[in-house]
Amino acid sequence: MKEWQRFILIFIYCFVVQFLIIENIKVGFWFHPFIYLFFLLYLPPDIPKWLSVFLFFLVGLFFDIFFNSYGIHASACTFLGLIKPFVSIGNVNVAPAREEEKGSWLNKGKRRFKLIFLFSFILIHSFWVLMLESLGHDFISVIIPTWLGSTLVTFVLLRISEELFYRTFRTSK
Amino acid sequence: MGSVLQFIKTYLHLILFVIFQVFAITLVVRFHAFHKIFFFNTSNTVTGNIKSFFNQINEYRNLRDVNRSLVNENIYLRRFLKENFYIQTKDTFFVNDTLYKQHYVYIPASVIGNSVDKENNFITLNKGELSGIEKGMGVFGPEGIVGVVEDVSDNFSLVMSLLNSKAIISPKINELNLSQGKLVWGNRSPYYAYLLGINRYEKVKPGQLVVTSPYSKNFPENIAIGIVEDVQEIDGSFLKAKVRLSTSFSQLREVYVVKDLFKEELNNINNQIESQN
Repeated sequence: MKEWQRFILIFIYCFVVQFLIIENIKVGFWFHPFIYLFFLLYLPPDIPKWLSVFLFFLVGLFFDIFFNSYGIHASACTFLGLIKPFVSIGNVNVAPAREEEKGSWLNKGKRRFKLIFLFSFILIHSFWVLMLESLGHDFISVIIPTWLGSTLVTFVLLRISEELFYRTFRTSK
Repeated sequence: MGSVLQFIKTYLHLILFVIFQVFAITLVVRFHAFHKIFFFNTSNTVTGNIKSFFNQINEYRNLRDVNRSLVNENIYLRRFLKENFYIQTKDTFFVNDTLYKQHYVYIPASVIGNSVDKENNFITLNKGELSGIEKGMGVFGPEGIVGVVEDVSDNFSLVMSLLNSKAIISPKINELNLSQGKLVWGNRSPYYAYLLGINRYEKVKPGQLVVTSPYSKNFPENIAIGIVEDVQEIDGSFLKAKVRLSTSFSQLREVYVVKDLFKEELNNINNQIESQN
């Protein structure tokens, strides 16, 4: 399977899981996972910075339409798109997300970096979205529990999705 | 040219980031009512503070005009003092003070932002909800009517000036005791407004004083609006009068906001009548 085909498949997977499953089962008031980050954070780290900002914005805007949250996800994703290349730039050659051909982060001893990378980006994204949604109201009683709960659930779902996807790709190769 | 292109090429990601963020935040403010209110309240407060700062500087420059205006108003009001009147009758009157309930109170405020050259002009006042100002209250100055409060934040108010295409005032021609028609701005001059919808058989003439009508919802009766300068017949059945406004909008500094103490009671009874119909 070609790389671009794989990303289209991941995008469709994110959309279906987010809107046909997660948005319908109502995981809980304090847990609102954003599975579409799977598509964004697993994009190759060696894409140009401007393309990263552009792609992240487009994806955020696309999901905004379906969340009815005009602009909130686009804003958060654009920020992630700006900082992601700076964080992953040193790992371009050794850790292109999870590209089995070039060697995964696991193989290169980058497991800890990858987990911190994923967790911190989800943390930043959730915080940005929640703050923009509520403008800081009920920070202690609502935003912080929702922020941490959503981040944890999103992180777990991303790791599960990664295992499902890349194991499938590995076996189908 | 080359260096500009090089700069854009180097910082394209940052430029795109700024553009996309502005676009996204604009969408947020545009499509979320809560964010819209928060944004406009914050921007009103910020711009109000900035205007307030510059206003403090301008106030010193305009103290002479303000004093002159206040002196004129004092002279006008002193004419109504009891000491200025002579009682000719020997009859004795008993006045029960409880009959005279206060109808209006006035909240003084300073103008910290003002425009006169747009199609829809607004005035910013340095007092808001915390001073008791509410949306819909009338505003007048030492020389006459000014406008109606359109929006309020905690510390500032936005007044729809009479120089606004949407402003409509209920007028009365003092000499004729005629409350008819409506007063609209209708042109781009800060000195004139037009009186429309008056029956052609009414004896409206240049030089007559136009004041607020007793039917006005925002103002007490008899606040000066202006003086009729020219009268024309429209469509053979109505008169159109050109009114020279008494307020010098470009020199406006101190104003009074009208608080109608019976407004709620009046609204309640009007609502009852409307619901019965």
